[in-house]
Amino acid sequence: MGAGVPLVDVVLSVRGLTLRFAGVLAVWDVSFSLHAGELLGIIGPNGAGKTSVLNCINGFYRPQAGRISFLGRDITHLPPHTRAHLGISRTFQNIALYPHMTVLQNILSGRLAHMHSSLLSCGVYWGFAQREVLQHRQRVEEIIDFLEIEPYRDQRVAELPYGIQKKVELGRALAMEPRLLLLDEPMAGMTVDEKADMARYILELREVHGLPMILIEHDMGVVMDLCDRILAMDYGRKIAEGPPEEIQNHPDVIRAYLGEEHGVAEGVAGGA
Amino acid sequence: MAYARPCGDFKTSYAQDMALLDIRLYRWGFAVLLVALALAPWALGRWIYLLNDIAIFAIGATGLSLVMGFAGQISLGHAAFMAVGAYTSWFVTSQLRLPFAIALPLSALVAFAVGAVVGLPSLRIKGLYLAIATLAFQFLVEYLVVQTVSGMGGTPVPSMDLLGVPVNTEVRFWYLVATVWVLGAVFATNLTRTRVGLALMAVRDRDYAAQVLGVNLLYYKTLAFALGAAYAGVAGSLFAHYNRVIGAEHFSLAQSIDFVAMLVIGGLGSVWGPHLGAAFVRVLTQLLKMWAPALGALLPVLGRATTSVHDIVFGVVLIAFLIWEPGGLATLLRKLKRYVDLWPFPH
Repeated sequence: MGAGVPLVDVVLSVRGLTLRFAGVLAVWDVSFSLHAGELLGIIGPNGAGKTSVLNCINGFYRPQAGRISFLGRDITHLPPHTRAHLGISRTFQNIALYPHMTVLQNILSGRLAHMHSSLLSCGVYWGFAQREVLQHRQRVEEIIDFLEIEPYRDQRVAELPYGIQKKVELGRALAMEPRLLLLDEPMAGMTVDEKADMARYILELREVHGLPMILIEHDMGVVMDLCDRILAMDYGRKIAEGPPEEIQNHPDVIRAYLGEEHGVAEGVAGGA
Repeated sequence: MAYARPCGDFKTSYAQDMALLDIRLYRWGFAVLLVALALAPWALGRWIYLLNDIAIFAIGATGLSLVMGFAGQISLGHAAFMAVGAYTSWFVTSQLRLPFAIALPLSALVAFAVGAVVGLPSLRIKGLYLAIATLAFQFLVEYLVVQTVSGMGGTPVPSMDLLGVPVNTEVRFWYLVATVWVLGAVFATNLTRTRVGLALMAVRDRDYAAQVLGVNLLYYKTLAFALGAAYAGVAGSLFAHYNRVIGAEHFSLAQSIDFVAMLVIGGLGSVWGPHLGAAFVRVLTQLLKMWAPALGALLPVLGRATTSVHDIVFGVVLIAFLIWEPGGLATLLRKLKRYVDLWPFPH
């Protein structure tokens, strides 16, 4: 993935990130780093500011304070599409596919950042634009194979079941050939089998392609099993950061999830 | 939508899969269509003027289809872009005394530039508000036309000459406009299956996701308006030299709304939509024009209502399409083809 790019150990560095909406403090002084090939989980109760952090990283929200740098470059003030061109891709909590386009078109559109044919050659088609589209089609087919969604290729996304849509969205994010992938609850609302499939894809992306990822997920079993490191948030603040075992037994994390009560010393560890 | 493929017609490469006319039947069909267009003057006789009229407006509607059908941006000022093209062409041929062969591309370029400027607000305003912003442009152009060039009457436009051949008959104009029509339609269709079209559809379907995946919203939204305006500019230039007189009434708000009607009736987001819609709307308009006096004579009760029979019929047709077939004629045809393919089975 990173061919031709200088080897940087820290892929993403977030420092003192603070985001306010009028009176609401969505994110307050959050700092963390993501290393090459790492899978970082972000957990926290509803409204803790997890998605807001992702939105700041890909440029949806402009934080009031803080600095975000990606592969050694300060991206705090870049617009979202420029960040995409640098290699930050993501999926959304509530599926944000292009409903009236086919699976093929959706994933192909993920490659827009790599398409360069001019307006005229697009209109003429034969020649450069055709070669370009075919070459991208080849990559799209590889992704369709990887996600095992061959039968749905020519179907409109709006007609597909939820679990397949989630896969297509992952496919579209991968089509960009990202250097950093942000996954916002990729398994929300899925059946156990679909979750297992999704976990398998995420693991393969990490193990085979060494793709650094940030994963927001509510299924603790999945997060604890998959992630190298976990960041826990509550009320916009970072309350803990560390390997899964440590987070499971962290008193602040337990307090955030289960509330303050005597006698709940031993953790969320067990089932959750 | 699943469809039945004919036997023995296989695809063995992605290039074949992405071809516009991907099965033999379509290739033959398209060839027959082209031959039919070439022979139309013989078949239609003096009625060829109807096809000329349809062609001009179909070119304009193709532009609006890129703006509304593919990029999802509403525009109520499409006739104003047509005016920009028409008056550019008039200025270039009658004031600068340059040939039509230069005036036509220049009209497209000027309209392209004006479209890009008018499209700028679309980055910040959406839906109804954008409609009103484009409406303001429509009125501005109408006002300019009345106050500066044409007044309440019309401006005469010189006849055209293409590489020394005077285009002075309906049949000659037909070959000119049909060439532009087919080339323009193919160009727009190619756009929809490459970088530009994918980006426009992404913006239409979900602009924030498109942005996150590397689509520059400002660039593509203004590009959509500019492209749409360029098509309208070409249509305007052709109209000016065909009609030989242009005035504010030809590029009124009613005409802009007719363009929207063509898209809705033909089918939004379909490459055949604008052509089917333009044909439907123009033929219906001409028929109503012919029948209105007869209707008044037949039913004197209607009285002066017959003068607005056009508006009444169009209102009803639009509402009927929106209720029963929002996909327009294009979807209707696709359903028909599917029915024929599968007959005698229902599924």
